[in-house]
Amino acid sequence: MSGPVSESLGPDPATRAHFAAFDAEQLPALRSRRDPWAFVEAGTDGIDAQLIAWLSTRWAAGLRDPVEAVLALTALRGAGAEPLDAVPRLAALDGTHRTHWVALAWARDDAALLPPGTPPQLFPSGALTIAAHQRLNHDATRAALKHEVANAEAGIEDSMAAVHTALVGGLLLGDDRVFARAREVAERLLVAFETRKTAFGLLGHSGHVVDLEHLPLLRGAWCALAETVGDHRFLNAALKLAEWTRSTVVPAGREAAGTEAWHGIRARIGSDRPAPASVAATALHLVRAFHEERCALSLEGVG
Amino acid sequence: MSARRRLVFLAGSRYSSLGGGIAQALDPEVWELHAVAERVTLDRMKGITPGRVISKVGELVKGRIARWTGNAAERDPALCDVPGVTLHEVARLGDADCTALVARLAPFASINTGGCGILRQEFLDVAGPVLNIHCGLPYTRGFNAIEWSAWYGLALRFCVHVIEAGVDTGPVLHSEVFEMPAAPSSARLRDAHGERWAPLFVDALHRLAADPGGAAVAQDLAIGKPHFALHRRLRAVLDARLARDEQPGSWTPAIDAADLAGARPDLLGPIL
Repeated sequence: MSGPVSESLGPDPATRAHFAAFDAEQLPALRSRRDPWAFVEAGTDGIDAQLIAWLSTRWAAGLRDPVEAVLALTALRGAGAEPLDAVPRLAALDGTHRTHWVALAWARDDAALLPPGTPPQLFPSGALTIAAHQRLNHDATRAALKHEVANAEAGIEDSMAAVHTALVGGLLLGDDRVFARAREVAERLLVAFETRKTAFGLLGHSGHVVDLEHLPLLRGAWCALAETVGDHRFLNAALKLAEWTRSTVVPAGREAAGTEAWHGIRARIGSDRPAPASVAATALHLVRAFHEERCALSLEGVG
Repeated sequence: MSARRRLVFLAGSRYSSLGGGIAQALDPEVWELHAVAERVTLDRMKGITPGRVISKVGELVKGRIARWTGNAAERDPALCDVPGVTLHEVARLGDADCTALVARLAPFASINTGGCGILRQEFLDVAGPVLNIHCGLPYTRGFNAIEWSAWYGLALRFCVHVIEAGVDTGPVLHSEVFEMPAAPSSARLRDAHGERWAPLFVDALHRLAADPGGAAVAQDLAIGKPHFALHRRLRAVLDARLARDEQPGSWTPAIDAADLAGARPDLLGPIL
């Protein structure tokens, strides 16, 4: 952790005093709960503006704690703020903050946020985002994209990520056949979701495995269809799916917080317990696992 | 007197005013009327929200006041209040018991007055042609069809059709233009569309009686897609467009740039 954040806040004595007080009083109180999840709870259930400001500033000032960095992101998102507003301030940070950028990239499915040198397996959408990242300028990238789209088409009946990749990749490559195939599957998923009124309805009804962490990709695929072919039923469904995800699966921001906090805590306590799943595991599973781990940590102590 | 034709009203409740309006317009010398209505159960009561109760009580109070002051609009009676209608109550329209009941009645035709949901083939096999009214067939099948039709800028229509196992895929008995009402909104469109249903059903029954085998025209199923409930944000965009441009047919068939420019943060923010 870097030095007291109050030292980096500029000349305003009142602000410095406020955050100094926070550092001295409220932060220890929060830490004493040995419960990083409390930050997340606060972030999603009405964290007060001062705490948001503190976390945001803390983050921008060079936070070294991945848990709190992600909690700051969560707090900002939970309060309705746009965490990407803080990105310019983060731009000056060094490479040690890679995990935060990756978390942001995952949260936004935006490869442009990934720091240089990020391993491909951490890209939100595989080669597709690599291609986007490299602006599709190179034949090799295009070939990789074709390869990825072909793989996606093969797995299109089982994976929402594959639907997204095939659809957007088909568009980028101008491959009408792949695009039509992805559109057909996206249509089936739309009917399954709208009929059952729950993303869990996608299970069994469509043959797709419900991969909750990939729901944003399905929304992205639907939005792409709405925009490219003018079929606004897909936009309609995407709006509903966004609401369903926010209200039913995990409150806003918890996916990223759950994932990152899990890794952060493991690093902190040196746990050799294997991660509950890969980064691509479902958010729900991660959050549940996180809750279970939290129970264990309350006995062992954290920090 | 020749044998009367037996007609079954399929109703979500015995108080259906649509069913009542149709029933009182039919000649009892020609039609034998049966209402198959879902009974009110605790399970159904659970689904009634406080807002719905308040709204209904408000309507009742307003209706009472209008009657006392002599300003009451002429309302169709409840289905169960129309003389000559035999009431049958069931747990759920289209379930096994209901299917057995309707099979015993062996109707010439049935009418969906609301609340049917998706009817299975076993039910449709015994219910005679089940008539329904829709908007925009064959383009906008499914839910909120009138709103979707308006969204696409399609000419609005009344489409009396026969229910099949597919959602709104059945043949069309009659189709006519629905004129855009004054001061249109999505709610006003729906209300104004519904106001014509009773006479249209009656007319369709007469057509069916006159030519049971050849009155309906099959839909081209290659056209159109199933639609679902319009999200409230899209509904808000639709209402704004209706308020701005009252004439159907002059709308663009998709969200235009102006709509997106004005609505994008609110409309698309959570999903982009």
